[in-house]
Amino acid sequence: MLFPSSFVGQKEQRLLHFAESGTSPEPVKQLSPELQKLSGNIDEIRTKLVEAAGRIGDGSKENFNTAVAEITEERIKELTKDAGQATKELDGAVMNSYLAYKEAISTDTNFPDKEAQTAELKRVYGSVLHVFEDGMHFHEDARKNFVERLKQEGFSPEDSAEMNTSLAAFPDGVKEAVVDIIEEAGTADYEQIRELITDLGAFKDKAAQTTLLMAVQNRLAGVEETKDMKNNVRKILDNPFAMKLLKRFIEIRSESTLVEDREKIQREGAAIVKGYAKASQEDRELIEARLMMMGADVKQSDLISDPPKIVPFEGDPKMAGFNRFMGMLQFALAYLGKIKGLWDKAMGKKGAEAAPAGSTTPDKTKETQPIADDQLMKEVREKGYTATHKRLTDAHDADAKALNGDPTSADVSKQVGLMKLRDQFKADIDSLAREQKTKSDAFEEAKKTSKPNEAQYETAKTELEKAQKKIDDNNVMIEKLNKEIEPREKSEQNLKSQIKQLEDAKKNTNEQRRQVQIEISKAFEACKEEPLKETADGFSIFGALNGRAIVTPPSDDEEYLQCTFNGPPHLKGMKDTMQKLGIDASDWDVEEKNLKNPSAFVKSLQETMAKLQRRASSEEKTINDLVENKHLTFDEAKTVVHLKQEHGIPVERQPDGSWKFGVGMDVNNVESMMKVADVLAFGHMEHTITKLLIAFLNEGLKDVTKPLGQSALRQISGGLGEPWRDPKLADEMSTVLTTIEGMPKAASYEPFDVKIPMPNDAQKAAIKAQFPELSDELKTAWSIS
Amino acid sequence: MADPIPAAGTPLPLPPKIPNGQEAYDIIMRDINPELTSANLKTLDAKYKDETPEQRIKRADRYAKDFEEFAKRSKAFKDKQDTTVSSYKRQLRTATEKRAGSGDATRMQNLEASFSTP
Repeated sequence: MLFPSSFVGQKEQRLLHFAESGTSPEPVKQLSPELQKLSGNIDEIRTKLVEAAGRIGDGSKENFNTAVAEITEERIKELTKDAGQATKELDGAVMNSYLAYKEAISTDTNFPDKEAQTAELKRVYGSVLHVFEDGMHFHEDARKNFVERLKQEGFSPEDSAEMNTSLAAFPDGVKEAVVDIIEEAGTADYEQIRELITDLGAFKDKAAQTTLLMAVQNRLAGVEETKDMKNNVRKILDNPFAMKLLKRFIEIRSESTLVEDREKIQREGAAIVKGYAKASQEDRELIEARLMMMGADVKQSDLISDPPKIVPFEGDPKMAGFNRFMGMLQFALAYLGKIKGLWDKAMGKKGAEAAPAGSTTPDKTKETQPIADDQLMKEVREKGYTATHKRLTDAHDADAKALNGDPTSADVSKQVGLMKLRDQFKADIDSLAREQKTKSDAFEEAKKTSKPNEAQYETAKTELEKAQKKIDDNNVMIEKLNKEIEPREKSEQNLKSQIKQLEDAKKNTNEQRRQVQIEISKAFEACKEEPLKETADGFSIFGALNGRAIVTPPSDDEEYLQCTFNGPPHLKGMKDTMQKLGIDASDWDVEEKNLKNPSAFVKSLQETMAKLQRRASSEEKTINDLVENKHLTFDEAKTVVHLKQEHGIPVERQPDGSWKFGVGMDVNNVESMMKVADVLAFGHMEHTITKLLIAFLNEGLKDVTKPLGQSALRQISGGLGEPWRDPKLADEMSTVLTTIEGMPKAASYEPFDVKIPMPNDAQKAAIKAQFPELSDELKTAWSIS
Repeated sequence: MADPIPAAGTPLPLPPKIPNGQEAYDIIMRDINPELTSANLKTLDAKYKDETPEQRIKRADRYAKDFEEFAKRSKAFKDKQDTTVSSYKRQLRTATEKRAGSGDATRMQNLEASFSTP
């Protein structure tokens, strides 16, 4: 036998197709619930369409149109739901990211210029979160959700108040207009809004704004636009959201009552301009922009006087709308400019403009003061300790919350940071200890070599105490850190262990892959040279192309060992082997001349492997079916499949547990039957005598004079049925039983118990007479003297 | 000394554009049968005003196949959209980690400085 069952177990896939079995119908492929639903939907649609069209029942043009419209609407509804879900996920991710970053800033006292950072945070996330800078929050529901999320995430009441204040800082008209448009447009305009914010950068100066104003005026007036005019307006007004916003402002102005507006503008405007006189130029621009947005005419107003004089914008509703629109642009530009100034300054850019003296301007001295400033460093250190402690105690939870899953990487990163911190403390202690020792030694030396000086002694003593105090403090901190780090270290150890296992596995896999590649390369190189034989190991290619490494064989299976490693040493040998495996390799041309081009050969081999795998897969199904549905053991099922496939022998287990060999057995071919017996005895049964073998033998032993019986008898004689060790005895007995009239023909076999046909006295006499050379074994067995 | 303080301005990726239901429907259907895009549905009446019942039934069969193809492609569309969302979330998380990590370097810098203070 070339391949014992152990090889089969390692995917060698020797068992072949069992198509004629009939005992294992191909299982019906189960559709996933999603595909079932899809299939159901398609059926519904088809039915609806053909019915409405008139194939069944009363169809009509109207019915058909309605059906198409309904189907379309349904599809759109489904996609809208998907889009909503995706948008929700995106918003959630942005929100989580925002909260994580904000928390990092709020809990970490060492961020460079927190104030500018916070402003930057708002600017960046503002654009992502669809928030138009500091105060213009588009969607009321979104705002509520946002505030709610802040509460849930433990943000302070001040945070919530800040949000509300920001929103309330805007005139109702503007706020409502924006909310209206967003509600009307839905999420479709978010991209446009972001583009608008980006494009505003093109209109930084007053000249550009004036150009834009002219372009807008022309467009509103329906004046045909020149190419230059179009270029001027393209950046802003070609943005659909901006145009909608502008139109909406104009509508608001058209619908409102100027009298009511006037009072409101004057009342609210007066509140807005408070502090205008002392404000920086940038803050003044912001105030003016807000006034414009609420409908005031800034040029006609007197913002410096006390009380200020606020004049509503009067005249053409279009121009009033445009005034508001320009206010919005100005606000955005001024705000962006302010943030940029703060940010550049915070980042230390050369040539950055000095920050205006507004309320949000960071303290300049704080940034430029030398880092060695005692007071500042004390503050930094204290805050750093406090913040570190808080971060340590909250780190894990914060990571998990903030990063929306997969906290592991953040945790590990955090762990590395903490360990660095601890190492820093330790290094510091070492340094201090060295310093202390130096001072102590010096002091001792001084005491020895000179007269003690009281003042010098006190100074040294104080220094030593200070150093000791610092060491003590640091030790306390290290202890705290250790308490925090310990569980993390355990976790880290586990993680490292897992990573190592994965790396080892990867390494092994890579090594195996490398070996396979080497084998392939060697085989291919060998294919290019003559002579081919003795150089290319066919089985290496076989194994390599089959996607697996060469399998180490069981040590006790010499035959397999030889087959795998010392088997056919060249490609022709491989072809022979494949054919022995039952694979049709007759069309493989393994002549040397053709093998100079190995690609065709490899392709053929790959196709064969694919075919083999398909067949093996089919066999696996059959075997599984027999095991699951017929309750055969795995070995029995394999044997049944093998008998059918290799030898055309159908066999089935009967309800009473016995085995029945079906029609198709060539019972008159002794050699064939011997093969079957071999399979049963030594093949897939792994040297185990099973009921199946017993059934087979007893099937034959019913008449030992027939070929099947003879083969069964030989099998017994061949080693199974003591004392019938010699196959010649089987033949001899068969001949005697065939010759002597009336002799029973049936034998039976159970392990260690063979019952052979026994002659009566008359038959014994006949045997003695007709077979004078009868063997001693048979004489003994039959008690013939 | 620690490295210079990293700039916190790591750009945040902008969220991908998620087409609304109608846009998505049109994107998918346009390649299958432009007749069935939302804008063209209104024109079908005029286009097939002289259609016989038999022709209508044939059209129904054709549309049924189109919607079947649509069902397959819309699933692929959704899968791709989900992948895009996941990818964006990953990008955002990475960017956030980078931004949020800028304080750590500063802290180490300050601590080093503080220890060097007598």
